[in-house]
Amino acid sequence: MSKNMTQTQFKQPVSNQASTDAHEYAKYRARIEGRIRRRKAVAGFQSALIYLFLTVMTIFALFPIYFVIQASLGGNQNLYSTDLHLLPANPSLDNYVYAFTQEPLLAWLGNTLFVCGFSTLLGLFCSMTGAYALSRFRFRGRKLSLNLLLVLQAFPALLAISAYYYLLQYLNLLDSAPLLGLSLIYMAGSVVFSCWNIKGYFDTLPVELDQAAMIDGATQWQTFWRVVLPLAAPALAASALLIFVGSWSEFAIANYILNANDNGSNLTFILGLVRLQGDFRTPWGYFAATAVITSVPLVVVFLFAQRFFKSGLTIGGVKG
Amino acid sequence: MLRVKRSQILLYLLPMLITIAVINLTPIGYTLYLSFTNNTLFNGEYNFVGLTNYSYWFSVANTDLLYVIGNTLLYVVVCIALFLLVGLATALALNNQKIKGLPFWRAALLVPWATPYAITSLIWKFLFNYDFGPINQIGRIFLGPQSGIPWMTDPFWAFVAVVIVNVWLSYPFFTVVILGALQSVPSELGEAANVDGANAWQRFRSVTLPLLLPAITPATILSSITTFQMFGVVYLITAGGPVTSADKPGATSFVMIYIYNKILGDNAANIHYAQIATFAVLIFIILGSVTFLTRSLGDSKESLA
Amino acid sequence: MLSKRVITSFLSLAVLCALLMSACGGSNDTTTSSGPSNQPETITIWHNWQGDYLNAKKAIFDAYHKQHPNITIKLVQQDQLVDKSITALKGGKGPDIIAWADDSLGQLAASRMVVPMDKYLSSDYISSTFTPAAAKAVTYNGKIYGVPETTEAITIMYNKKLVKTSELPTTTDELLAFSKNFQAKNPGKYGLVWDTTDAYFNAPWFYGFGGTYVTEDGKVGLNSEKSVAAAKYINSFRPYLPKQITYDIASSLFTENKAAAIINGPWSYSDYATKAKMDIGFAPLPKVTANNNTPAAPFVGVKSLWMTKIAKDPATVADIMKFYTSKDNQISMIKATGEIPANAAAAADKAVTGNVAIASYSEQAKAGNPLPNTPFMSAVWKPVKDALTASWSGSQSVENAMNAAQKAAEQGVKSINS
Repeated sequence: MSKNMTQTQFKQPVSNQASTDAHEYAKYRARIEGRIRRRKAVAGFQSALIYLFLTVMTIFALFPIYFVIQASLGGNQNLYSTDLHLLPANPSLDNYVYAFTQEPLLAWLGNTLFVCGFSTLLGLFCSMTGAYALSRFRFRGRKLSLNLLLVLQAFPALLAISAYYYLLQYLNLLDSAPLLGLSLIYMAGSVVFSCWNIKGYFDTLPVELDQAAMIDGATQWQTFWRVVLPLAAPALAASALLIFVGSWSEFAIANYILNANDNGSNLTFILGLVRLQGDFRTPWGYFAATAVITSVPLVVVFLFAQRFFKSGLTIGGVKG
Repeated sequence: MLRVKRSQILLYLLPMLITIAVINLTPIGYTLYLSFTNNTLFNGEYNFVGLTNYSYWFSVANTDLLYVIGNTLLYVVVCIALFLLVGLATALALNNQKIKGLPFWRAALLVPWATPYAITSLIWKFLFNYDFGPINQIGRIFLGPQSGIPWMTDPFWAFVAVVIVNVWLSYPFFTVVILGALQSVPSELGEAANVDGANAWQRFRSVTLPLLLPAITPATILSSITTFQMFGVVYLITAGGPVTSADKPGATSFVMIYIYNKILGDNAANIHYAQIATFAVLIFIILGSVTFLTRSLGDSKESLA
Repeated sequence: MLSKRVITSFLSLAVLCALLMSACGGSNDTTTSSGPSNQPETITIWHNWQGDYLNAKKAIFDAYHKQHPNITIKLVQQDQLVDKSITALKGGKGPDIIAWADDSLGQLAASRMVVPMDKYLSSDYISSTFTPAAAKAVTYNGKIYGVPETTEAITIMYNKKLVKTSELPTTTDELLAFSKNFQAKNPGKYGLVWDTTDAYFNAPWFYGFGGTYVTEDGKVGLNSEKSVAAAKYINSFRPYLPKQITYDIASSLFTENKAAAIINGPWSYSDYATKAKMDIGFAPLPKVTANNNTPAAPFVGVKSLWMTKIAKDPATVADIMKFYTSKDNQISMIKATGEIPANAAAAADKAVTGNVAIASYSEQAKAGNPLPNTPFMSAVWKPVKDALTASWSGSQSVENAMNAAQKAAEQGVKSINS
C-alpha cells in the first residue's frame, strides 16, 4: 500500500513538471529533501545498529578463541586456571617454540593443505560441471536426480567409517597414497552441497548469455569455461571455501585412514595434535599454540576469498 | 534451455556420477549388506539372517529411543532457526558496502570456523564449568559470589549450552552461503525498489529473499541432517549428559551419541556391526524420505508459483 | 533417460564393489610363509607411546635391530588404537604386535584379533619373570597372549608447601576429616581433589570397601551393600569439593596451590614436579575404616604387548617381546620414562627402589587389583560414571543411582554375551 502511495506522490510532480508553478515546485523540493534527510538519519541509525550487532557478534565469535590464545601463552600445560584471568599470567612463547621445533608442524600443514586443496579442486570441478548440466540442460530425471543427490547426504557416514577404510584398501590407496584417498572421501562428502549451491547461482544467470556466446561461435565447453564460470565466481568461491574448511580439521575418518610414521610427519595437523594427548592428560599449552598456528592459514584463505564477495558487480554488468 | 546431444550431457555429469557411485554409494551398499547379516565382532560371521536386525530395532523402539529422537528433533529445530537468523543477519551486515573495515569484520566473524572443533569444543566445556568457568566467574562479578548457571549439570542448561556451541560453530557456514548468494542480487534491483519507496523489510522480502532461497534451502536441509547426526562436538562437551539416572539417556544424548554410548565405542566390547549397520540404514531411510518429501513439496510449490 | 540408465548401471557397479569389498573384508587370509628368521622381515608394532616415552622404547627396538640386522621393527603410533586395529586386522592388514593397556585384552582375544602364544611364551616363564599382577594381566581364559611391559596405578600426591607429612590421613575417616578441616582453615582451598565421577579414579574406594564392578563371569556388583557404601563415602566429600569437578579442574587446583593433595597417576608426575616446579610428596591411598582397615585398592593398569592374528613369524615376535621386557632393557627404559617395570627383577633393582616417585607408585600398585581384562568391563565404565555423576549432582540418591547403574550394566553384559 505504502508503495503505491509513494509512487503517486513521486510521479505526479514529475509528470506535470512543465505546468507546476514555482510554489508547488518548492513544496515538492522541500518534501523530497525532508525525505532524504529522514532517510539519512535512518541510515545513520541503521549503520550504528549494524556496528553494534557486528561488535556483539565479534565478541561472541572471539570469546572462546581468546581463551585458546591465553592457554597457548601459559607456562604450564593446564588448560584452565581456576582464577579468572582476563590477561594471561606470566605469558611466554615457549609453547610456540615447542610447536615449531619439536613438532613436524610444517609437514602437518603441508599435508593438510594438500588434502584440502586437492579435495577442493576436484570437488569444485565435479560439482561445477554437474551443476552446469543440471542448470542448463533438460533431460528426464533431472529433478529427481537433484533431489536424490540431497537424499544421499542423509546417510550417517560416521556409522560406516570402516566401509570407507575397506574402500580405500580395495582401491589400493591405503598404503600407496592415503592422503589422496582421504581427499577423495572429503571431496565426495561435499560435492553434493557444492553442486546445489553452484547450480542455484547458475540458475540466476540468464541462459541467453550461453546462447549468445554459442551464436558467436564458441563451443559448448568454451561457453561454460570462459563465459559462465567467471560470472559465477562468488558461488564458486563460497563452494570452494565450504569444501576446504569442511576438510580442514576433520578427525574421525582421517584417524582411520592415516598411519603415522616415526615422527608423525605424514599426518594432517589435527591428528598430529590429538597424538599429543595422553590417556588422561592433555598438554594444553602445546595444544593451544598449535591450534592458533594452524588457524592462521585458514584466516588467510578467508581474506583471499573475500575478493570474490563484492556485491553487485557481475550481474548488473551483464544485464545492462 | 540449451539443446545438446545426450552424450554431451553425460560428459558434464560424469565426474560427479563417478565420484558418487564409487565413494558415496559403496559404503551405503556395504552397510546395507551388513544389515542383513548376523555379524558381530566376537562371532566374525557373515550369515544371512533376513530382517532379524530390523525387527530388533523395532522391538527396542521403547520410550528411551523415542525420547532421544524427539529430543534430537527439538535440537535440530532450535539450532537451524538460530543458524538461519544469525547467518542471515551477519551476511546482510557484511554485505553492506557502507560499513567500514569489512575485511576485518568478515575475517573476525568467520574465525570460529577456522579453528578445529576438537579443540574449541573442549574450550567451551571449560567456559561452561560451574565453579571455575569464565562465564560463571564473570557473572559472579556482577551478580554476587553465590550466583552461577549450572551449565553442565542441569539438563535444561546443558541443552542450551550445546545449542550455543553449535550456533557458534555453524553460523559462519550460513554466513558464507548467504553472502555468496547475495552477490546474485543485482544492486540495481534493490535500488529500483528503493526508488519505489519500499521499506527495508519489503525490499528484503520481495527482492532479496527469493533470490537467496535457492542457496538457503539446500544449506538448511543439509544442516538439519548434520545436526540430527551430530556427534563429535556434543560428545566432547557433555558426552550426552548430564545424566540423571544411569539407565536413562541424558538430556543431550542425541541419536548418534545414544547409539555410541549404547552399542558402540568403549562401552561395548562385542560390537554388533550388523545392528549398527541396520540402525544406519533406518536413519538413512527416515532422514532420506523426509528430505525427499520436503524437496518434492518444494518443487511443486515452485512450479505453481 | 540415458542418465537414469547410467545411474542404474553405476548403482549396480556400486553393489558389485560392495560385495567384492565384503569378500575381502571378511576372509581370514592368513597364508603363513614363516621363513627362516635370517630372511629380511619387518615386524610392525602399533602403540600409543608419546614423546619421551617413545624415544626410550624405540632405543630398545633399535638395539634389537642391531643384533638382528635382518629384522626391522616399525613403530606406528595410533590414536584410538583398539578400534583401528580391529578394522585393519579384519581387512587382513595391520600390526604384528599391539601395545596397549590390558583392559582391552578380553575384547581383542574374544574376537580372535590377538592370538595365544603359549607355544612361545610358557606360563612358567611369564609368572617367574613378571610381577604377579602383570603376569595375570596378559593371561586370558588360561592362555598367554603376550608380555606385560609396565604397570601403573593412582596414588595420593601432596604439595609439601601446604601440608606436612604428619598431617596426612591414613584411614578413610581421617581423610574425610582432613578435607573438612583443611577447608575450614584455608577458605577457598581444598584438602584432597580427584575426579569424583570417573570409574577408574574411584575404583580404589569400591574395591577397598569390598565391592566389585563386575566379575570375570559377568556378574555385576554395583548395587551390593559394599558398593553402595563406597559410593556414599565418595558422596560425603560433596561439601568439601567443587560442585563440578573433572580431571582437569582437579589438576589445575593442585598446580595452583589450591589443593593440598590429589589422586593421580605416574603420567602426571612430571607435570607437577618438573613443569610446575612443585615439591611433591607421596602417600598411599588410605585404609578403609568401614572394611576392617583394608587398604583402598586402585586398578593396576598393565601396559602389554600382544601378538595379532596376522603375525607371520610368532617365534621372532616372541623373541622381540622377551628382549624388550628383559631386566636390563627395562631398567634403562624406566630411567628415562619413570614408569613401573613389570619385570620383577627390574622392579627390585636399585634404579627403581631408589627413585621416590617410582617406588611410591610401585608400592601403591602392590595394594591394587589388575585392571580386569574381561570384556564385561566395557559394560561397566559408563554406568558407574553416570551413577557417580547423578549422585554427585544431587539428582539421585546414592541407592537409586547404583540401582540404575546395576540395571544398565546388566543390559550391557547381556549384549556382550549375545
